[in-house]
Amino acid sequence: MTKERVLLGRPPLLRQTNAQILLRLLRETGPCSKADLVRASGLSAPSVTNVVAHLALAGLVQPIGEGDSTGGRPPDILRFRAERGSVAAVEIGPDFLGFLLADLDGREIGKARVSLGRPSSSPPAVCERIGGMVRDLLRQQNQTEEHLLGLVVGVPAIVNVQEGVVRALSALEGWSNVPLGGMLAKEFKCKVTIENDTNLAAQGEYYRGAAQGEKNFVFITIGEGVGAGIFVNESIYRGSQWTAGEIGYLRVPSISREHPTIHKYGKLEKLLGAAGILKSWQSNRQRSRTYPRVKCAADVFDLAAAGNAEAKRLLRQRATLLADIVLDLALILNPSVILLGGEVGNHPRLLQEVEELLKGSEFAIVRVGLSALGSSAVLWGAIYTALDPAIFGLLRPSGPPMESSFLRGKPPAA
Amino acid sequence: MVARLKLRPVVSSPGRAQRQRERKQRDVAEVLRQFREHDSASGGIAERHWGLSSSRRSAAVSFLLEKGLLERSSNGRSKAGPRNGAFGIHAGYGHVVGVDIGASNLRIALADMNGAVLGKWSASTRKTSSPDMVIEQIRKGVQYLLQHAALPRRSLLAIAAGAPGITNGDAGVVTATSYLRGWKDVRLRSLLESALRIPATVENDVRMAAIGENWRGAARGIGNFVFLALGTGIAAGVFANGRLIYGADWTAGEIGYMHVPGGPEEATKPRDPGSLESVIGGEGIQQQWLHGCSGTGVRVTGDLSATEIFDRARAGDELAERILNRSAKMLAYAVYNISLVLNCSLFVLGGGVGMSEPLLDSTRRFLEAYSEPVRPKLTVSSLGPDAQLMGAIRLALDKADSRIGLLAGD
Repeated sequence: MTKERVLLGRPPLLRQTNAQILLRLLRETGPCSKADLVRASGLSAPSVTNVVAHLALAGLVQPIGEGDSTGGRPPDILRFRAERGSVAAVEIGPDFLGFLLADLDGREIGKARVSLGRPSSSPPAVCERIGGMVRDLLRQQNQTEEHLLGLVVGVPAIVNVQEGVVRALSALEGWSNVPLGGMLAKEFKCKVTIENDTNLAAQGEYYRGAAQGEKNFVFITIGEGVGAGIFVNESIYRGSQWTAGEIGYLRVPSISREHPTIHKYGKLEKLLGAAGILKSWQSNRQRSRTYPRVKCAADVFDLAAAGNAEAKRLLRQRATLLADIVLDLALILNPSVILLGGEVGNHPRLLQEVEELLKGSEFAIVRVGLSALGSSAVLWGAIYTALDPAIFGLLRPSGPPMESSFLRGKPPAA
Repeated sequence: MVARLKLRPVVSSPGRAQRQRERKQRDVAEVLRQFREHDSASGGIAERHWGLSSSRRSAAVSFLLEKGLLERSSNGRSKAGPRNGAFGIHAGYGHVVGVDIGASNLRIALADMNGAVLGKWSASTRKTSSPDMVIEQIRKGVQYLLQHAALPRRSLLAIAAGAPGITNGDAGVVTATSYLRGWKDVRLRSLLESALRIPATVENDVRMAAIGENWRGAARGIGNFVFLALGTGIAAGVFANGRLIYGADWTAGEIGYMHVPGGPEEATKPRDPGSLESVIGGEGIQQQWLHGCSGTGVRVTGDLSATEIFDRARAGDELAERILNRSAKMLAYAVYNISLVLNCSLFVLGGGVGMSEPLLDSTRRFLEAYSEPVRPKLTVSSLGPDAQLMGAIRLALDKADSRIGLLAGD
């Protein structure tokens, strides 16, 4: 048994904990003096001096001159150096790659989106593309690769976060059991994290969207697929095999009522997803000329909003399915809010319909709302996930890498 | 002239001494928790489990030795080193009481500091279920147990009680329950504390059973699992990442109204059993049986319990088999849906109906047929009706431990 494994309580770690407290204060309240930090943190003045020196050495704080004197020597005002480094967020979509670069305050400093064609969507090609694009974004900010302190990638698939392995990505070819984390670690020197996109979107909403301050909430995304990001006890919950929130396979009564014979798994996802809605609309259209032409699933809901009776019927049907899902989630988890996101889920008419259906229910009273970040939720969640480990990584005492996970709850054992 | 006392502000920013005190309290609590988690009786605790520096750990251990809560044990067979194996929780340091307030029975257990049950007491709550009456019964039961074990009153350190309803553990209030008459917003914790003058914890009974199974039962050491209580009603106690989940309003796991295929179609009226509950709850099963019997006009054998009905199915009774199949199918749907949402590795079935073996077998068969993409493991509670009591004892021990930890500050 190596002694290094006992980490907690050793002086370097204690200093690190104190450093985290001070950094959090500086980041939240803005520039202030050492005396302010002593007062706000409850740490002793020598500790603060010691830790501030440590932070300055890491390049994370900087004195910005003297403040107003209250009688004695004017105090040095300290500020958090958000420009010390940057973090990058990447979203791998079914046909695109999204990028967001942010400083250590989480302020956007660069953004890009490229489409992803067939031949260029193999795992090695995607890795190369990510490497090139992130380096481009850094260059535009006159930053070198040394500035990049963290990279988080969101993938529409089940992800073993601990090992950085993408289990299966149905939307892209050749993506099954891809060690994406390992592949990208060869491209970058910084910490690379791979995460399920819905889990990231939920964290994005928690960070700066519609779920700020919510300790228990669920984010449901309905787009090409259907999934849920579950937040319990203030952290994302991934389950025993990383598949928590795979609600596209739920068995709800409205499915068996409408399609009593079909019970293939994933049926719910196929009906409720964008493709399912389009398919229903098109097949109805073939039978009757009264159906207008539509381009995407949201168009059908727009038609319903405009009063088209057929579109209204279809909307009602899908809303019934969704209401069943919402009800089951509410009973199992008792979240304070359930947010709807994704291309289909983020439609106000769908929300209105679901709310109406839930009104009749005496149980599992839950607030349902729309995602506030829309299509950028995944990227912001990735930035949020990247920030703390990136900053605290700079403070790491020489030695074994610190498990940053204790900051936000432990990940499950694989 | 009267000298004016200069009062120090009670609340101030914590100084160095204060922080040291708090750290010591945390260390002591952590050491005690480790002894409980790894059941000191079963051997030593490997170094890596401690998460404390050796100096702080030994400071905490010597404090606990000095106070008499730890003792040197003769059990030194552990491979983790003599230092770890040499200590154990001193069982006789004090005692705790666990209480399970059920719809029909009140059960009380007295345990030592190792959680060994020294005595049990029970009484009916059918006629005497008002909060005051229940508290009075608990007081009587505790007195009886202490007398029987020849223990002085002051050896009691803490009590924990579970109630069959929505329970706000922070506030110590049982918000609502449909099983006990007159229980609405009952401040159970303060009632217990003033009746017995010891610290108390209150918890929902199903979550309490989940704690019991996690500590000493079928889910020992498993961080993600669901305890499903099937009795008169149906509810789930969910462990996620090693912690119970409560939800925003303390109602997580109240799945009696869950929507799964095969339930009654009509919208459920308030106060009626939920759609899931009406099919797989004990009363729902009995009603289906009575209804079925009168329908065929053959053998009206009333007064059968759900478990007896399921046993009949195994013996070849057609009606019983139909009921069993329907219940198992719905239970399988519920298990399947919950496991999709939570991706938990284990379901532990408990409660009067949940312990039925025919039900377990049939439910497993249905689950195997679904198979994709999750395959939850299903098992029966190993503590049976004692799950709640064991959970209550663990909660009471935790309460007692936290009080001892507080002493470390003095």
